[in-house]
Amino acid sequence: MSTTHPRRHEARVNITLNGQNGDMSDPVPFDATDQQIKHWSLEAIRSGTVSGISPRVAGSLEGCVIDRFPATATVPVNRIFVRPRTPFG
Amino acid sequence: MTTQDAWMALLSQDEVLALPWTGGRALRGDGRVWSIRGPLPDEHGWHAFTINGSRRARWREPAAPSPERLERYPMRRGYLVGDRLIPDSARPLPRAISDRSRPPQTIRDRSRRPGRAQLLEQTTPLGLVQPGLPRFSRIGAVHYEGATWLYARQEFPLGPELSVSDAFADRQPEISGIEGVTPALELAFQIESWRRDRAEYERALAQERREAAARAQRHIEQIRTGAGRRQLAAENFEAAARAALHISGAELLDHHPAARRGEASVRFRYQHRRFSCVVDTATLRIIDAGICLEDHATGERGDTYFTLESLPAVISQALQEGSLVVF
Repeated sequence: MSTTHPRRHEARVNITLNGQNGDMSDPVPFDATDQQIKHWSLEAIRSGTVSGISPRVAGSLEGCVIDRFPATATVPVNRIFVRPRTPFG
Repeated sequence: MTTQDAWMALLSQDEVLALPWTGGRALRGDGRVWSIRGPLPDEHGWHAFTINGSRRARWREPAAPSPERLERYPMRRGYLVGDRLIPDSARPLPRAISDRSRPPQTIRDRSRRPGRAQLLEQTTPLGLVQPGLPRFSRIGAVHYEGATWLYARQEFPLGPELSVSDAFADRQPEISGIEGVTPALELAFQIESWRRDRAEYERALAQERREAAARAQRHIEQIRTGAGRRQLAAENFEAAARAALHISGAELLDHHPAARRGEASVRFRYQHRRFSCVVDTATLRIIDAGICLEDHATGERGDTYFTLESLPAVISQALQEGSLVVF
């Protein structure tokens, strides 16, 4: 599945869930709230458009963490990561 | 009628002439030049023009060729190659340049021998070449009005043309064994062979470029999505791992097979520090994060929650919270 290239105010969303990983096909506003991002991500996973993540693993993203990485010289697109919360030992 | 009236009457008389036209607004014939007013013909060829004493011509319609008209001009005979005449006065290239008996090493090598300029400088571009003439046709061409060379007619072959045509079809490197081959015919053979080699080279090159572009596009599509990176991992784990780490700004340094089959040990640099982890080579899922992701209260380990794409973000959070413990 191809992804749309994000514009300057947008970000590509990469989701990690239950050891699976996938990207949302459409970019989202980089300044969207965590709640919005979780909502869109869950919607995309359930609709099967996040290639790489099975819709069956999509229970809730409430426990997930949102990380935001602005574009850099080496990675010229804004990125948002949705990933599980983890304990640090 | 006065003399002036007689001249005016003469100038106003229209005449229709069938003349060859090879582009532009200048129309030549019978030692005269007219300027074409109004629309131009759609194609080069013989056309009927309305002319008068004013040196202006107007296109009327396509016309049949008039071989008799061309008989008046100096004619040169030779062989037709594409839209060029190789006159009988031409000489083949020295063997050192044109030698096709030595097998070319590459397609590019084939297409480079012999030099295009050296071949073409002995040829004359022609206008109004009759389409569909067989290869190595003998033709006559005329220097029309001292301005351009035009195809005039097909000439009788001298004898060896058919054998040369067979040698060309058989991709023979040379035709020295065929009797009666004139220098012009040998040069025609050289040029035709070079044109074929060149066309094959261009086709191969274009195909190579198309395939490279398709591969590059496929690679881009693969590394841009999580599923694509996993597909890529099956063919090229290093490229997939590099792409997965790259999206979070980490840089792959090295990788090698881990102790268990289907797993790889990956070293990467992130935020100016080096880290190691063990991943599943098919799913890029983390097996061992190389940092402590264990809840000591419950004993739960978080390593397998993550993939190569998301591990750097976890490291980033640990660094910010000052809770990073590297094994």
